[in-house]
Amino acid sequence: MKKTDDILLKRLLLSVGILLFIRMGTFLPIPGINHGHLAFYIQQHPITKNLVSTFSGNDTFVIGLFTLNIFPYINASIMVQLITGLIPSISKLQKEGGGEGRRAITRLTRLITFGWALIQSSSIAFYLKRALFDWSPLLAFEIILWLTTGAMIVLWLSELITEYGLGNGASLLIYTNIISSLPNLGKKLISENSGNLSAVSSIGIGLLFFIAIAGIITLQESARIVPLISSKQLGQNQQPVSKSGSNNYIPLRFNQAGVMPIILTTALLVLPNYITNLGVFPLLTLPIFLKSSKIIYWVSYFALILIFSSFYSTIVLNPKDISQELQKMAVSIPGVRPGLATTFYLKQVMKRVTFFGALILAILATLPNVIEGILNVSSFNGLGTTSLLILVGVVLDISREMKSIILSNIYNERFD
Amino acid sequence: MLKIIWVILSIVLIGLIFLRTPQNQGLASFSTKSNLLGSPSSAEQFLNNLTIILMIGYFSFAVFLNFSI
Repeated sequence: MKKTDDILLKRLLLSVGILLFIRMGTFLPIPGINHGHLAFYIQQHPITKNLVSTFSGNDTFVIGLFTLNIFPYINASIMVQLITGLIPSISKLQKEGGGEGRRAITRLTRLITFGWALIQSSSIAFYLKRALFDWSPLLAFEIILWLTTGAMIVLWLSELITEYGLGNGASLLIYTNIISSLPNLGKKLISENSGNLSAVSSIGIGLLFFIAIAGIITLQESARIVPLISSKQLGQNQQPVSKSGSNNYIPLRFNQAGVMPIILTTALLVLPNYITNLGVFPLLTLPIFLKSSKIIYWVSYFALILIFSSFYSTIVLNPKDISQELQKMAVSIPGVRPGLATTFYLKQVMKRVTFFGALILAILATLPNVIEGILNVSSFNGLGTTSLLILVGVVLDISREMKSIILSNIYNERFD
Repeated sequence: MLKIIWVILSIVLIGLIFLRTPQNQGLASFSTKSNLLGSPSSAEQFLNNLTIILMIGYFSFAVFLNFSI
């Protein structure tokens, strides 16, 4: 037991140490930028502050070494996941390429991460032209190099956490960003709603969080069990096998897509704003139409989450691929013929499971805004369903990992 | 001169990070974690140590240049 404690402690200290180092790097300013000029400009232009917050995930005026954080890698991972789902050759490389295939996909992800880091650092460097009096192309090059190298270092450190620490590095970094913004969010919630915040609304907010977290845990942990039986088991036991008697199964989770449907929905609903801001279609009043008609906006939001959830789930888990894998392993579902019948059966089950999961996700995503409207409390931005999904998901992931480390070491210690 | 060294250091760091292929991909499960039952290869260990040294050097550069400008 002492050995297990030591292992857990070492992993925990490594993860915490790396996270602290990254936080320090986020606040260490890039040399060459006059942060006095920048702070003055940001006071006058809140849009710049939002731009920096969008990239760094925190509410600071400092453009630090690790400002880009893990976001280029997240963007690259999403892109590679979509590419893998949509392009058959890359999908084949991932499934049938084995170790070499997976390494190729990893290299592709890193290359795209580097590309994203260059794009995002360039946009910051050129945006700062209006804020810095001593801006020059050489300074822009320096900013791009500092930020890009910082992003690659953060990627490397997150991989270290995943391999040698506790938890998944990228998820932990996003978790840290969300947690670090909570004190500011709480302050904003109280200061902007001091007039509206009564005992009833405080209880309502508390209840909202409780229901949201309970709903998210249900969504993340619940699964529809599809029992399996191998041909060997069928041969050994001539009695009809009951569906509930099988030890092997496929767990079809209610929420296969994670936070992707919410991210894609938000990205799509923001498009009309971008188009109008371009000034190309001056007569286009779509965003105003959507924003002022809140009910239409929230119904569209709800419907889009349902659609994207179904679409993304088929990318993550393809019934045809599962059926083919089961056939290769000589495993089948009791009462269902291998091949097309299994594909059809899995499609039916996944449709029902995905719809139910998407419904829960859409309800959880729109719940904070409904409560905002009812209780007349604003400023839930920053702690929506996406953030709660990530927070709860990371905590569940770490607890599962700790259990597996303890279990694996029990067997080691027993045989030592 | 210092800036030239910094540029070379950045490029070398980026190159080293590209060289190192992780055992797991971003959202892979804990069951494929390395060092759970074994130890990393010596080449990987060397690459990790070199990257750590260069990273600390890079960080020190940033602190030094901040104070000197």
